[in-house]
Amino acid sequence: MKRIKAKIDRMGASLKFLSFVVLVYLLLAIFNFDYFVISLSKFVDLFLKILPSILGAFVMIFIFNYFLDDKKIKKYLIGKADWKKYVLTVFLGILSSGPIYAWYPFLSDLKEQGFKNSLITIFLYNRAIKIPLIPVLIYYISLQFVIVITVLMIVFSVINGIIIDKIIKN
Amino acid sequence: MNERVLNSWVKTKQTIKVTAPLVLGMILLISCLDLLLNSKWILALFQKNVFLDSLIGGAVGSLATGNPITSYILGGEFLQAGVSLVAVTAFILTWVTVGLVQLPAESMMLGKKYAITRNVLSFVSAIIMALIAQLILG
Repeated sequence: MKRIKAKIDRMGASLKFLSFVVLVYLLLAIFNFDYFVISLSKFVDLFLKILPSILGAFVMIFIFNYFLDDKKIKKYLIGKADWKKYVLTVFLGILSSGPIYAWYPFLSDLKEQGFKNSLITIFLYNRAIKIPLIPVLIYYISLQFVIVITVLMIVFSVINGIIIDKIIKN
Repeated sequence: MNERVLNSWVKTKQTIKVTAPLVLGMILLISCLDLLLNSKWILALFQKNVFLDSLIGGAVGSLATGNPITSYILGGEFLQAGVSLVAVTAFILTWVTVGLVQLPAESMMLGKKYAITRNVLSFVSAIIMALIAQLILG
């Protein structure tokens, strides 16, 4: 029992989540086999539908990781906040990858070097635009939706950045 | 192998390691829940009015956390179940821009006032954007 608990503790959150769902399926197979079969066939159907989009997303992430690194981002972002920096930050935010919290130490470090709150805000906001994941969003909603939302997010990221600088002084 | 390619592969492998089980789990869960929770249940939560729907969608998205791909899949499923576009848009936007779960970490690294202000602004912006998207896309 202790060994199982230790193994579970070592697992990442996403693996724990998957294990939980697999457990739900196992229980389903025991108590309601018909429901289990229907769910599984729906899963196979859905999985095959979105598999190309997900594989495409991973390829794009690899390409972005190849062209971008922390040192390059730092080089471009340090300095006075102006429209050129805003535009650069929008692009760097869009092209960056990884979970949001992974960027906090990096941004905190930049802030200590005089990086404006507005630029941090623009960077964090545009991180939400995930180019590699766009095919998935197009598949589930529509291309028009993706275009409208992307344009709105870029515009609102800059508005939010400007408001933040008015509210909080560096 | 080229060092840049290797570094890129290591980073991507890390992303796949975290994302793949999550996506797989999400698809499994959706396939199972789709039969349990019929569209009436989801529709009962929304479909009040445009403004209220966007607020509810935004609130649910703010509380949730995880890879954006999960919000896209859930948002698409909600839309298919008959939830309004404004609610789904607010849900996806707050999922990816508001981080209540990450708020303590953000406060620690970037300052409490900054973190709270940024998250409040992101929430309000998400609602406004959802309403604009609804106006444009109908």
